[in-house]
Amino acid sequence: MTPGYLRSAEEIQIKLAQGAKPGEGGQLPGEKVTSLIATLRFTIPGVTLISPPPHHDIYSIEDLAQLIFDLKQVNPEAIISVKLVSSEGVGTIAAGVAKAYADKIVISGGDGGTGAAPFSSIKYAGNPWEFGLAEAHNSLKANRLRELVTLQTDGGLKTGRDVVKAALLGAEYFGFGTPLLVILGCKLLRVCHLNRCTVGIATQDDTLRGHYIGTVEKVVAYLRNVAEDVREILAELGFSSLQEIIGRSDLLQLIDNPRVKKFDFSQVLLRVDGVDTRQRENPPFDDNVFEKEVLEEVLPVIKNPQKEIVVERDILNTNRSFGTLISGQIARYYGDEGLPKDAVTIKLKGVAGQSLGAFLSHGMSLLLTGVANDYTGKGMHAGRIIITPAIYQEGASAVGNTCLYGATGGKLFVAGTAGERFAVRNSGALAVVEGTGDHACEYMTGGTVVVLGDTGINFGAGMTGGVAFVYDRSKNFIDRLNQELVAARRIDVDEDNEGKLYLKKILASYHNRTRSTKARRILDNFREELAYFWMVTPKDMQAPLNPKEGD
Amino acid sequence: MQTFPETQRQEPQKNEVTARLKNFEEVYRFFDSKQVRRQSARCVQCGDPFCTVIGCPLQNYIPQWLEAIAARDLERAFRLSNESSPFPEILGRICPQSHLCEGACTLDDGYGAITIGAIEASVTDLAFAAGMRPEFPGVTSDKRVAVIGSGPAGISCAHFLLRAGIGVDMFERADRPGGLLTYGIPGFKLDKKIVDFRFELLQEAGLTLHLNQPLGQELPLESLLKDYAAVFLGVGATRGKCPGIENQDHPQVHLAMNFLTHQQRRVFGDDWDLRYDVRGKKVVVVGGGDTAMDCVRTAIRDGATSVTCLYRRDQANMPGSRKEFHNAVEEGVEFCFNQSPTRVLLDEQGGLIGIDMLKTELGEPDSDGRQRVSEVAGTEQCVAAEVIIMALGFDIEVIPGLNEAGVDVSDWGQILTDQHTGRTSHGRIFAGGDCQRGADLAVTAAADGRQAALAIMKQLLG
Repeated sequence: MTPGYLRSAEEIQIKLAQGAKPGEGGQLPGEKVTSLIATLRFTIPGVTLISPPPHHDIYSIEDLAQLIFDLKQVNPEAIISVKLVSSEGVGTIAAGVAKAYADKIVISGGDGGTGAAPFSSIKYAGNPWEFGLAEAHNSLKANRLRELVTLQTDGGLKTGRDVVKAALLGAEYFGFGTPLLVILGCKLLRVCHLNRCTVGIATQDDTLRGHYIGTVEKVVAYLRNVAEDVREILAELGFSSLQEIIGRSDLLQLIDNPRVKKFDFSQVLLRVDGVDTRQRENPPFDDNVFEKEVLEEVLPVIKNPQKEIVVERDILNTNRSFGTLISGQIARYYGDEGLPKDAVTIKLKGVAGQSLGAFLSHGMSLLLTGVANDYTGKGMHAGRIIITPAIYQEGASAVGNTCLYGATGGKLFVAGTAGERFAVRNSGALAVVEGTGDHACEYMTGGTVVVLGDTGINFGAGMTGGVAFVYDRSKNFIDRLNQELVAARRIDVDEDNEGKLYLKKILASYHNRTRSTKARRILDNFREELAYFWMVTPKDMQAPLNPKEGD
Repeated sequence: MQTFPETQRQEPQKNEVTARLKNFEEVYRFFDSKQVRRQSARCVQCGDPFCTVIGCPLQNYIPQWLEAIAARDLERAFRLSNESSPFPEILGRICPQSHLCEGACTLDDGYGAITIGAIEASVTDLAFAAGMRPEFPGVTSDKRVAVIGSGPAGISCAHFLLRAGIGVDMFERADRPGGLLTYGIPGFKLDKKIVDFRFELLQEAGLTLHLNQPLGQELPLESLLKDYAAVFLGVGATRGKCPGIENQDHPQVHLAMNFLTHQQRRVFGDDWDLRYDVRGKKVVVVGGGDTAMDCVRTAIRDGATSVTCLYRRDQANMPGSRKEFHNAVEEGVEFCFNQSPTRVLLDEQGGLIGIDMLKTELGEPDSDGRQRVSEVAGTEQCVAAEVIIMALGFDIEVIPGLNEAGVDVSDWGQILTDQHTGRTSHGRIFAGGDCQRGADLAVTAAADGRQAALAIMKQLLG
């Protein structure tokens, strides 16, 4: 995700899972990841992609609230929706999501499902949306949260009858998937994974795409027919709008069938007292006045990109997602290109809250004297974040967990150690830290990470691109490296001039910015210290070192 | 598999027109093992295969045997293909695939369908040549079944009964077995040796064949019911339709089936009626189906000076196989579309001189989806003819003994059966093929025969 991409959206969905394939997600096989797709998805051609990927930044409902907050900063106009899977207990989760300030909750059922799912999932996984929708709707009502969020459902909806039933169970929005594909020409050949779709939908092959017959008009005509169908059913029931029947589960009746009698539908048909639709906004408790004030100051530079500005502030750990609101404003006008280098420099002092510099735009520099929390540099796209603790101590922690998660570019220099899951899914950022926790550089597809100290276990798991340099003074790194896809090699050998020159340049830049004494020491004895460095690259792919980096 | 973007559809090669007009040998040269692999590998392997589900009346395991042969496993392909079909090498040759499996193939829109028919014929041809044979257990049951008629429905029923170990006595009124496969379909589409070979296999498996035995006084249905545990009727629809026009009873106006039968007898070297000789004559064939195509192509091989085909709809509405129409055009047949015959013209001596016809117009589609035909007054013209052949479809002949046995028939003479078992209103008489459904395809007759065989098995063996 880049700030330009997020800013261009009207609605942003956090897809926690999909009803038809819960826990697995769709798969884009490596064969279909062409260089175009790889560019769009910030990854390496030929590497299988799963959707949705595990959310390494969401381990609790508080983490989700933080992500929603981040997204509401980068794009305050967008509706933030959270997609959940219909299952027992989804009501509790839905209530949590509403409390995490989402605008919309999607309850996804198991009857849909595309060819992107493994066959076992299409056939055997997932629950009907009816159960989850009813539970979520009632749970939200019982907790007086229903008025804060809209409810949507999907999972094999096809006809007006499906829409009316979903509305009666509490849905205000309705998602269509498979039928739209069929309208666009899909013949359910179930060869989506082979790049051989004869109707040109699930393929990157230009010849096959030439056989695509879908048009917007066909989709419009289909949905118009569904709407017409809905209108007829409503008329039969004696209502004039869909709005009137949302949540009217009392209008549903069990059919007279011996098989129906085996089940207890009382929970599905239960009607709790209270409003049945969204009534008002769901703004986060934190209105982020701190950054709004900074934005006011910076606005002239955003309007006139020739100018430069330096802002100084003290920051507290309650000031979350700092830099994201401004980045979103920059992206609103300039997209991912952002502002010229060094246009906006913000000098901070103190302890920054979570998500410092999330989705950072080009032209932004955040210079923090102090330490930061979790998610520093999450999804950062460009610019730089420099963190220097007020009192430098070798090996001391300076940033929290899941920093640089999903970053697509920019620079993060931290004169201290980072927590768990550092630079997971990094696809372009350059980072220097003085140590990491477990799972660093997992699923990395690009960019450069330098670790001037110990790492945790499982380093580089699933890493398919980019490069990492690790300073292994205690000689235990190899045991901590996940060697499935990557290999570590020494760079103090004569053959590797590229690696060692690149590293030296990065270290010089890092020292220049942070005045780290550890970096100074390594640079002073570079010849000897080089023997302690490992360079980690994917086994299959030759990661290109970016000579432009380092200054 | 899925090589369709790289490999084009390739039909089997045909003999040169000049060469093939000189004899009644098969026109197509089917695939060798390399070609059959290449063509099979084009298959998409759809999750829900349209060829099998929508296209094939037998629900043949088409994608599965395509996959097998593409993987060089001839034996698996042969066994899969012969599992559901009683004679794949024959249906691969004579089915109108463009309306069935190949018409349903997902590649048929824009890529060229898989050459299913040619591959089907080739697989079993290659397997037979390699010495493979379908497996039969031998007759293991003490119950026997009488099959009346040795055409596609009868062969199919006998084949599946024999596979279940039930002995079969087959009664055929002609002097050679095969019914339509022998006398209806000319040798240039289906070599008679292929039909004979199937009968050899069935006879080895326990079939007893009784030729020159029509149902009737010598062989009453009643006595069959006494002697056999069940009777299957697959006697076909053999009574040719006539247009009901003036002078249609002239001796030089033939019904298609008589013409084809006698021509085939001539090719066999058996006795035949010289009346059906068309050498040096101008021939007009009325009709546009597969039988009409068989007649025109037979006539042109027999040495007719000209062959003209009159059809009352247009080319797009022809019910038969597209490839047979193209073959007929290649072989020099002239087509007059949108023409409806009104009168057979005779000279003063009563000799045949031609046929009058009216131009037609196509209107709205009827309930079957085919466009209605109306004649346009004042557009009469005449085509010269010395022989006229009526290929206008078939009705069912009256089958002796049905009434007495208590078998219900429709007003059109169709035997009424249960649609899932082929059982008639008499619990031990089953029927299938054209005598039950009206004139239709060999493959649907084969499907009926199989369905009845399965029902008979269940009834006899439990």
